[in-house]
Amino acid sequence: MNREQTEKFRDKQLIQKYNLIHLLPTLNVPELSGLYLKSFLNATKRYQLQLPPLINDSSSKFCGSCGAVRIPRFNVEMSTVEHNKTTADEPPRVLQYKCLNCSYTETFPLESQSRNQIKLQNKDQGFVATWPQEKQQEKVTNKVEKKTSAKDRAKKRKLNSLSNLLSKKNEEKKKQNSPSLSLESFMQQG
Amino acid sequence: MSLKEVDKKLVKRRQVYRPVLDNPFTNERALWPRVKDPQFIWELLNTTVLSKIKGLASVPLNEWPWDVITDYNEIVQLLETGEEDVVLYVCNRDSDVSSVLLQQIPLLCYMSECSVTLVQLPSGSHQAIQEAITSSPLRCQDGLLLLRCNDKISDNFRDQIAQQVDPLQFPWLEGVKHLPATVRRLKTSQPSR
Repeated sequence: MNREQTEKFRDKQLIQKYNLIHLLPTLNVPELSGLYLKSFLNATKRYQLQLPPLINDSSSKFCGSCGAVRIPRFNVEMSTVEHNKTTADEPPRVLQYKCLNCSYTETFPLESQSRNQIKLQNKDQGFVATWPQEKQQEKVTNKVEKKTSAKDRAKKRKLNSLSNLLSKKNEEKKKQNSPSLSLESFMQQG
Repeated sequence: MSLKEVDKKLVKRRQVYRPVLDNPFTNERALWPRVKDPQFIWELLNTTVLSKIKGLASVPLNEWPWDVITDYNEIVQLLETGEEDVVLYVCNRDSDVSSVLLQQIPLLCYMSECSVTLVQLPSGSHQAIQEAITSSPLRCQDGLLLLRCNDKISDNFRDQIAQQVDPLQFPWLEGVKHLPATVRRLKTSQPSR
């Protein structure tokens, strides 16, 4: 088989496996879904393929426990849950998928950046104008970083190189040895 | 192994394998139905609903000229149990809306007993909706806005939207749709002879 043929074969095989995963719910045998999903994922691993985030990311498309394809109104219960008391590790809002085949519950943290919540936080803390200052600081740090650009560093490296140091030393030696006509040296010798 | 070889290997691995999505059976490339004229759809929503919400701040929700739902749980419950005509607007192109949350929405619309017109909104619309409803008790956290097409909404409005949006197509769910959702087993016994 040449390269084109192998790629065609690979695509056919993978799509067949992917379709089988999606066909399973119709056949009503959820017990097999884990096996089929594993077979598909192993095949993608063997061909060293990176799957699209839609399929690959977390277990939003497939149940993390039994591997069944999630189908709303059929085998999954979806809801968002809000925690009133939140700790540092726990996100305030969570999306919950409960698989009806294996009753395993998966949670996904939701970043709630709604303006209402931000407003509420501001009310609690009182207005603190912090971020413009941070911005200024960032600018300053950027400038400092820019000063030591690649060019400057290269120059420094050249100056510090061994050959350069040697030549510097030699020059100093030459200066000491060479008879100078300056008044100072004449006075010192005298 | 040189650094260049490592880089090459990384790039090779990072290339996403797309042919899986181009599959007509699962039809995941067209998870969100195509909108023919997004600008028109947005303006229609803006003029008929959003611009008027600002003036309704003091009016209780059940007296509004249309029934609007923005809460995720309420929308899911309505689509799971209800049987009516609805238009569901989704801001799926905005980065501040969770993609995991929206991933199952098209499938839910397809599986629902309601006849749902799923409309994806152009990017930036999530913030516009949030700004429009700040004065009302509603909160649009998840980029979802459901409009119930009951007597309060004219047929003309619904038809105009339906013409602009392609219907959902998921061939793999066609068989599942007609299966009973929860399987129950009856315990029986046979008399011994």
